[in-house]
Amino acid sequence: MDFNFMINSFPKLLSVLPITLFISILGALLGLVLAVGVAIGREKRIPVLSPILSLLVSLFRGIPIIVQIYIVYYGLPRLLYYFVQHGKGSGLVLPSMLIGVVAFALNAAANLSESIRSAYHSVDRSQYDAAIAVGLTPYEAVKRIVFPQLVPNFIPNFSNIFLDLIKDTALVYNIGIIEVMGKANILASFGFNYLEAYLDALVIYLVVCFIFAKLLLILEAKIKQRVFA
Amino acid sequence: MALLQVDNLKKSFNNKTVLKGVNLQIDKGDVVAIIGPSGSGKTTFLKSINLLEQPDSGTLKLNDDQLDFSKVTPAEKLKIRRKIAMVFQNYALFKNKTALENITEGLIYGRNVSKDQATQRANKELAAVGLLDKQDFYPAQLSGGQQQRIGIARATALDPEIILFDEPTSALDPELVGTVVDDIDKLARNGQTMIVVTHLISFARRVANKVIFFEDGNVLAFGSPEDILDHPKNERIKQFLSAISKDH
Repeated sequence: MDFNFMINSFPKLLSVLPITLFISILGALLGLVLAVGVAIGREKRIPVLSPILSLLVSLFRGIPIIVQIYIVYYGLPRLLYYFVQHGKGSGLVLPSMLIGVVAFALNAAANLSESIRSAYHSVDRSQYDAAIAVGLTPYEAVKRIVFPQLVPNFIPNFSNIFLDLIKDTALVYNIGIIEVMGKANILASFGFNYLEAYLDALVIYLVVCFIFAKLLLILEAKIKQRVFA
Repeated sequence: MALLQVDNLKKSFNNKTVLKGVNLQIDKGDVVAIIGPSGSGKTTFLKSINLLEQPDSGTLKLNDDQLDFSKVTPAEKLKIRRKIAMVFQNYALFKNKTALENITEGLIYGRNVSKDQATQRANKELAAVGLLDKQDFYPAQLSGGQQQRIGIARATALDPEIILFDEPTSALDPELVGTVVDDIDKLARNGQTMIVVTHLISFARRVANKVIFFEDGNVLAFGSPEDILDHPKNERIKQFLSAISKDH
């Protein structure tokens, strides 16, 4: 074990941590926006649209994220090229970062939409009925009664998915983004110090995930307190 | 003129017909008990009246408001619901609201009453069910009996033409049933029109002035408690009542 290497590499890995966080946080936020739409679309049982959404969700949930990243990475430029056709081929090189974020957002959207649905179902239907029965409109019933109770139920699942997202960013190294895992590989390759570099990465991922898990737990407790007492 | 008239109400779920053309006419001040075996359509019928269930066809007339179930608009639904209140089997209190807010919610957001007036009214209703000291408690901090009495206060605060009760006592501990029945009896004496789905025959006898017997999506019999409960002519009703009395 080369402890000097480990100590010297650690700050270098930390310096690319913002990239890891950028991809996972932006992916989660974009995914959340999409997921709300998907969950509403599925719950409303809109003909044609709902079955399509349901198919897309099972598709994204059934394919490893690395495969999704590759397919977006290689497929999206070709798709765009097909639409733009001649002449502009050189302008169609998409930044890896964009592709990474899109892949993560789509993957997160599929998982998050399921969590939103399950959080929605955890609020018993009779409260919605009661709200309708006292004369609230369906929109007000959801906004004032169902939604505030759905949020604290959603956070534990969101936390799981978000932590998975952080850990999965270790894969975007495969499309040339230098984040923590990518940096570790590069630093290690000069002197074959792979174990040392990966141990550094391990510590960073562990601490980051621990911090986010704690933060979300605190958020959940705070919201619960506001909603139920 | 009848307060509420329902004609030829039909409803099916996935090809299974639950209500096969139900008619009902009730007058102001009536307390109607709906009894009958499980799965006979009692609750679905009750929920059809304020359109928590959407019937397939039929008409409803409440005072001067008339609607056709097969082509009812959201605005018509809202209008009917704002004249009817409902008490639920599992209380269905808003778990993110205090006892007081559970009552003011419908007044403020369903009836456009000002917040001050709504609070005043809610306090009055809480006092009427003896729970004024629990106004800031959340449903999770209250017993089933207390929750159901707040459910009743939530309904009466709205000054509805009719209150619908969906098995209001069947989720309660036996020793709490009495207090809730007393509250409903008090409402009946004040002339509140009510429709109550219940399994408690004693309750139907004590509070109701009309009894409906539901069987297999139809009204099998409609009459006074004496006619239906004490001198049933129909064999099926006799059989149902004797089966029930064995359990109580």
